[in-house]
Amino acid sequence: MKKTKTLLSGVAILIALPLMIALSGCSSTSGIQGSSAIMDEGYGIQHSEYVIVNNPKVARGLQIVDIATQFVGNMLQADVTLVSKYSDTEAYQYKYAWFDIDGIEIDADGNAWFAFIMYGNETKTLRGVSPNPAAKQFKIHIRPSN
Amino acid sequence: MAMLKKYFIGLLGLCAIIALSAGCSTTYEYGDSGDVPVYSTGFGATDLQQVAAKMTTSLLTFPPIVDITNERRPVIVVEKVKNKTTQHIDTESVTDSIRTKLIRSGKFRFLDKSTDGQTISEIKRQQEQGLTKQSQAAQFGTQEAAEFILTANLTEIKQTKEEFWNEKKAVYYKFTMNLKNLKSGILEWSDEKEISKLKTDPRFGY
Repeated sequence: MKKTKTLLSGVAILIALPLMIALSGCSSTSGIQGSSAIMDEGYGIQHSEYVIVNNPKVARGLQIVDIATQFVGNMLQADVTLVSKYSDTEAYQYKYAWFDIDGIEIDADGNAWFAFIMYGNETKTLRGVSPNPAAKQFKIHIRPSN
Repeated sequence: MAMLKKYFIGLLGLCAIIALSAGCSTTYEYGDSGDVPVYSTGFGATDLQQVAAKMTTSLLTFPPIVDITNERRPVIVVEKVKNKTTQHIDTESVTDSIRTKLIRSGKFRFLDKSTDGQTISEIKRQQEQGLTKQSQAAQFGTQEAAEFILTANLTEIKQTKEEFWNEKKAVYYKFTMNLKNLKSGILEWSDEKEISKLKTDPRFGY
């Protein structure tokens, strides 16, 4: 009986060890996404906003509470306000993507990920400005820092 | 049974060695230029991207600059960044990134002092070699004058802390940029970007 137990635990280690090593370098790179578009369809300027959660774990700790959009001169400026729902300090990254009126991404290669830190229950606003006046829509991607 | 046990332990050891050595070969792959990992406390690509993004955003949204650029596209000349750090940093790369972003915004025009030598020799060639139509040849003294000059400083402060288990190193960078009106001498805009990088070196293990 004792020998069978030892054998079983050995088999468990045999399966678990490579699995643990293989998974140790893996972490999700998806997160949450906020978006806003400004459209003028002949009856005044319309705003549309939405938030997509691709990673529920990130959404449990971080919430997009406001998406503000305005034109500064003719450049689209985005202010996305976040609230940390954790009491601990967490590290994240964000990236803005800008789109013209037809939904085509502007300067797709020019957008880098930027690191930011959220302290416990902190509120923070991430500002972005479009690369040129053609931008009428934007998306913000937020993901956990590696 | 004892034989089986020995065989099983051997198999377990072999499996562990294979699993551990799986990542030991040298590999090369393309990375994402927008997601450069941080490997040191030195001024790196991510810092360059952060500085360029912050300075461009700040300049393009500063209200007096917005008023000016709504009417016209001012001409700017860029000075080299004063590198006051102890590191060798390609500061021209920082100003190149900022200049590129500002040009692509469609709000500013730039003079490029670094190619003045080539420009002079090309104008001379057009005028003196006798190959170019003189009605179309570029003339000396017709270039636009810069209205603004963009200057910048990069400084660093290093701190280290010795602990029993760790050695901690903190490097603080401050990038300051100014836009000065060449005629009036007034600083029209200024902003700073601060970056803090931390390194913890364990004394034991790795």
